[in-house]
Amino acid sequence: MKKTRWIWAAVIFVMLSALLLGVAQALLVPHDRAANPEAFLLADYFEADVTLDEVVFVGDCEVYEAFSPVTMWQEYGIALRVCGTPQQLAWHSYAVLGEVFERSNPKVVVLSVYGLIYNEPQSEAYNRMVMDHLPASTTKWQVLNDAMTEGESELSYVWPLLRYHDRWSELSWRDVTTLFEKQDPVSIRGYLVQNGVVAGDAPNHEGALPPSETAFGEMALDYFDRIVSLCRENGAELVLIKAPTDSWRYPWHDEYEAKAIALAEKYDLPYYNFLNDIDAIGLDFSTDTYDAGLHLNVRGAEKLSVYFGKILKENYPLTDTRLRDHDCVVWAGDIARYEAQKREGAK
Amino acid sequence: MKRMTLVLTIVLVLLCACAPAPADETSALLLSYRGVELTVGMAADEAIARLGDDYTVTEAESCAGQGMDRMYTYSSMRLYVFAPVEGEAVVSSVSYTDDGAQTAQGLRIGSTSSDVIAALGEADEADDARLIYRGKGCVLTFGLRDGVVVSVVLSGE
Amino acid sequence: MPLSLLFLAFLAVLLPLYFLLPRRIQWLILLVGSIVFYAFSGWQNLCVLIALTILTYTFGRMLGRSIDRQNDTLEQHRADGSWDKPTRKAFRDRCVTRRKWLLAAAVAADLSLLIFFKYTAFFVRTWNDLTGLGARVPSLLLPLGLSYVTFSAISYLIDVSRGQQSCEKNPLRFALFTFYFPQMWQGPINRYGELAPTLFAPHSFDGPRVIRGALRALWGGVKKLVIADTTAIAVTAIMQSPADFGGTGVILLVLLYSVQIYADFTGGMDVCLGVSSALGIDLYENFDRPFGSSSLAEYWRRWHRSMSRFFTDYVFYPLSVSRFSQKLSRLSRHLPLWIATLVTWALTGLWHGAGWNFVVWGLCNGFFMLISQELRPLRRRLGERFPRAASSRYLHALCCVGTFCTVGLFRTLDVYRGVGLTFSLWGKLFTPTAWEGLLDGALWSALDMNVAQWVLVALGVLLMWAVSRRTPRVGDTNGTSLGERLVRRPLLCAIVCALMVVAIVVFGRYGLGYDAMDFIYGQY
Repeated sequence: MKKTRWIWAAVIFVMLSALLLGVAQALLVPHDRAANPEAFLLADYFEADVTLDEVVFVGDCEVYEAFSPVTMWQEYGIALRVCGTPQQLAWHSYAVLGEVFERSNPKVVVLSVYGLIYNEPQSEAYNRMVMDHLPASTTKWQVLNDAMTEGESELSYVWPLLRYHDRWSELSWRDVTTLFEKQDPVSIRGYLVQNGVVAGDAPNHEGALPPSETAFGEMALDYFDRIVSLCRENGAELVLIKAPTDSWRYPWHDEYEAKAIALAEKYDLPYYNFLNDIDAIGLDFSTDTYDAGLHLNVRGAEKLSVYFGKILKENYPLTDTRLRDHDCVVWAGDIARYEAQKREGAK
Repeated sequence: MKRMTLVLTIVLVLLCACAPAPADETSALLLSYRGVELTVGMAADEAIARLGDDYTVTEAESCAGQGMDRMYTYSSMRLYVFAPVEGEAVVSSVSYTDDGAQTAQGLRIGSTSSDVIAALGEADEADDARLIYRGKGCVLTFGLRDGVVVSVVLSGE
Repeated sequence: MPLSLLFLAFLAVLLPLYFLLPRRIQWLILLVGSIVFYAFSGWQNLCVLIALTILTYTFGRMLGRSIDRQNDTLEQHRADGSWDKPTRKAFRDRCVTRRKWLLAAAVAADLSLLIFFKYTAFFVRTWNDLTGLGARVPSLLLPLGLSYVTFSAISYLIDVSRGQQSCEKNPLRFALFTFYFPQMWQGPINRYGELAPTLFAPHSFDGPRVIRGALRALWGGVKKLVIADTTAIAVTAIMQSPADFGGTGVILLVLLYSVQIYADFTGGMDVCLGVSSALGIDLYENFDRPFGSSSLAEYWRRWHRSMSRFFTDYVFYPLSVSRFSQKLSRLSRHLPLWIATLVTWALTGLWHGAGWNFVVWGLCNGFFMLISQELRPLRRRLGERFPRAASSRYLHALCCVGTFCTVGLFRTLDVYRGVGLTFSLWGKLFTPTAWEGLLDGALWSALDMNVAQWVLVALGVLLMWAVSRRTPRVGDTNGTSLGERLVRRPLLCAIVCALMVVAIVVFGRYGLGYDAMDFIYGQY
């Protein structure tokens, strides 16, 4: 009798703990997408039907702020998706690409080379924006080991409540209501619409610190090598790009450029540095940037997308998916949201 | 007595084994400007107040709004500051821009690599292009061209 | 490590092994487990503790043999009648003197380790201050638990030399006494005679006992991680900007630091005693509802009892009855007591930390207790004059509040660290602005805690008070602890355990972005 009561007690202990911790996790792990859209860029990807994507962009803000999938589709019919996140480094991109190839069969992968200037983990917050969304896999755990900054623990990626529990004292009513809401994607196929205009100088890195001695370092290049192999194994062409932005804060030194060119030559990959094509693209940094030249706004992104879309279309065997009814239906929804976000910003 | 000697020997061996490693002798590295000693991690407001107000400032937001980066440009020095969303702004880097600035030891752009080594000792890392000194949480880099200092940068590790 | 997942994993391995393997080797499993546990703190630390163990064991054996030889010789000569009484006394005196020197050497050897690791920097700093020289201040990390284990070892040596404790002949058994892992964070300072019987006895698995231990350890975790570490936010804010808070900071600290240190220290002890109890080993109860004390002397009999007992038995009493004290008593009846008390408290302060603020803290306690002692006749006379008031509950409550405030005020020396700064802030207590500051919203917001966190701390304090009220006093054999009552009701016990787990996981302060808050008494 007594033994039975203890067995029941153990069951109740486990169930009650699991229930309460489950509720706490649901409430405390950030889930309000509007509050921090960058943190949910990859959530959008994993919720979307991505099977028909032919071009996938990976990298940092140089992809998700610079290329508009809607423009590329409208102009060239390219089925494109951006899988960028803030300060996405080489190991992050490798982990993301692993999932991309699990879900789709892209013909072209476009990688921003800016992430290669970092050879060691930089920020826990940016790690989270990638790793929290990746499903459990051996690749994820391998990458996590390299990606974690000092003080982070793997366990907190398995059980995020251990990381976010301290939000309990900042909970708002919105944290409760958003739990029960179906939240819209924060991006348009991975592109974060930025409508603002803050004029900046033409790209230059005057005043920047000298180039980092660890840029294009061993770990970054090791992961780059894995990315190349992954793309080749899956029959995708890898294209390297550098967005047309340069500033004292995020400088693109000549040394970096030389290393990027050498890397592209070593692996026989195409490399496009759009800093060299600013006039051809038609970028005007008095109107095409939302933060004084650090990133392009939607106007600048559209110009760059028209320019790069043409290159992609001419050099790779991409389908014009505008000719497929099913695709048109899917894209119609994205276009509507894109236009709505642009209109909203224009108000 | 023999046993006592044996025990004391064992204890001594154990204590030698556990003798603490020399305490971390590296200290924060400094760069001077206008008599103000600047180091990575120091409170930016205090540094700026002491340096005077003849600067221009440029500001940029980091990618996902984690904070602001600011660059204060003085006549011969740039002070880089990181201002987190919450908390105190701190100096993240210091860089000399011409020979108008010099360290407490008199090192400046235009000094030779031998001057640097004579003043600061052998560098922790050295090649033709730079001399690197590592301190507590910071790195002092002298960029070299033909044995002459062309840049002086103090930055975080 | 006590409140980490690594520690839980360590227990998850140790507990089944401890109860499943043959009971005669339980203590050996505990020894191996304790050494492995200690090795996690660094192999250098392990070497220090092994050295301390070897030293103490060897000196203990020498002291024990000295007593045995003395007794054997005396017995032999008594039997054959070859020595008369004065000869026997002379021989005994010679043996005692020799043992005193041996004990002095043993204590010095043990203390030298503690002094080296804990006080070297303090000595160098003081030397620099006195001479104006700039000698490099070494940064030595105190090995985990060394303060507590050294004092336990010294108590063993003194007890053996006094003949109150036979020396341990098995070095491994002795090693378990020094290495036993639950005592490593914050003690208690154990006595071999008390701990050995339960430490080496075979223990069979006792479900209710294990659950009681788990309940206590969980409650300790709630106190430490939730209540103490949340309160620490405000305490740290005051500590970092004492000038901004002025006298108001002192008032707030008296309350907040008392809450923090109580929750921190008792919480840590609950974890240690709970874990040890689950293994079947009862450690010395270090607390006896200290904030119910109506005088400072009583408070120190109820707070950190093992330390108070150590200093009373091994410092205060020997000093009080020493020949030197007897000589002093010819000058004044009170002088030996004053000197013994002040020396004991100066040493108590120094044990708490290598800094003059701790010495002054100790002396403040000593002075206050001596004054209280001197005023006792006056209090007695007042009691006789107003017997109803003297036995009134209200007066008792007022004395308890007074004791709480006095203890809290002295403890601000621990927070501010600087003696001059603390005294100047104490001076500001008596200005109106100090008390008006309590109504200043800006000051409260500078404490870096939001409303939810204040509510959590308030609830925590209420909960600690309620639990403490239902915990029987030490020595009260009739009382039933909350743990025992809960174990009788398995379902309620399960719910309470689940709530405590959730409270620790959700409200606890741990993980990235936090400085791991060590136990305050872990640093002593």
